Amino acid sequence: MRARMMTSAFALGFAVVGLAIGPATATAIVHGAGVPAASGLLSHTSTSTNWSGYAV
Amino acid sequence: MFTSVSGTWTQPALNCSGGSLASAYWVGLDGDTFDVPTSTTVEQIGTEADCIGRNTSDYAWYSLYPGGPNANLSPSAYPVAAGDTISASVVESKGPGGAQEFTLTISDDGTGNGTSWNYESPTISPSSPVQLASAEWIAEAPSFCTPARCRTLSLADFGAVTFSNASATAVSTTTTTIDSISSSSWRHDPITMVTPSATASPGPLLSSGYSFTVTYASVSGHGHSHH
Repeated sequence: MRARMMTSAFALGFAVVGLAIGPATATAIVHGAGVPAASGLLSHTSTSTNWSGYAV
Repeated sequence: MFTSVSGTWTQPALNCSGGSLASAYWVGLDGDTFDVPTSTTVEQIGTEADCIGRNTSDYAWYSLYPGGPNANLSPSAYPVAAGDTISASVVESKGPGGAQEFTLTISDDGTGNGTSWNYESPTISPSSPVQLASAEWIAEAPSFCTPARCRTLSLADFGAVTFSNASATAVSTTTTTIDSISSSSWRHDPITMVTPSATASPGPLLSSGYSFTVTYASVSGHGHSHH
């Protein structure tokens, strides 16, 4: 998890304003973790709602 | 287990038509929760390219999730621009007593903005041991999280991004393998992002498995603006 200070447009568009400028762990942009959503494990051609690429 | 991953990509030029949209490009270890559902961590480094209205915001970052640290590199000290060639790696090593340590590196050749730089993270010890069960090369829509919930941000139109020099290192008790995504030493899985508004699809592996391109496609009838 990586944090973004709540001064960006995302703070206005996506977040709860009351959490602005909190500690690093209060709000964050997250990459590739904590957002489960995948299918197709049996075919090994997975689909996801948030990421694309290759894994080994 | 995988002890390193590396790759190169060109920071894409976004088509920002309005709204808050995001995209991220990274290499990492342990992020494949599809095939390794027990993995709860990811060690990763990469770049972000966001749309804020019709403007773009580009920067580099690294993270050990969830224990941290997580960091955005200062855009003034480490500027990222469309057209820059970015190379990044995550390397695991053993510290005192055999404890896991990570070093994350990223470089920018300055093609897009004329400023080249290299960054190497401090040596990072994870708060608890990680599995090193997968390696991945990813283009994604990052998520915005509060303590209560996460929301996947709308994916910015990045056109296409090509990963190259994609390699990983795997070690066993007897061997060390350094090879491309398509190595016979491991299985590789393409992952396609599918949302109601956009898809991002990895193309075939090229250059003996060292390269592939992820292509963005909007879904007809769905806009991207958020208000």
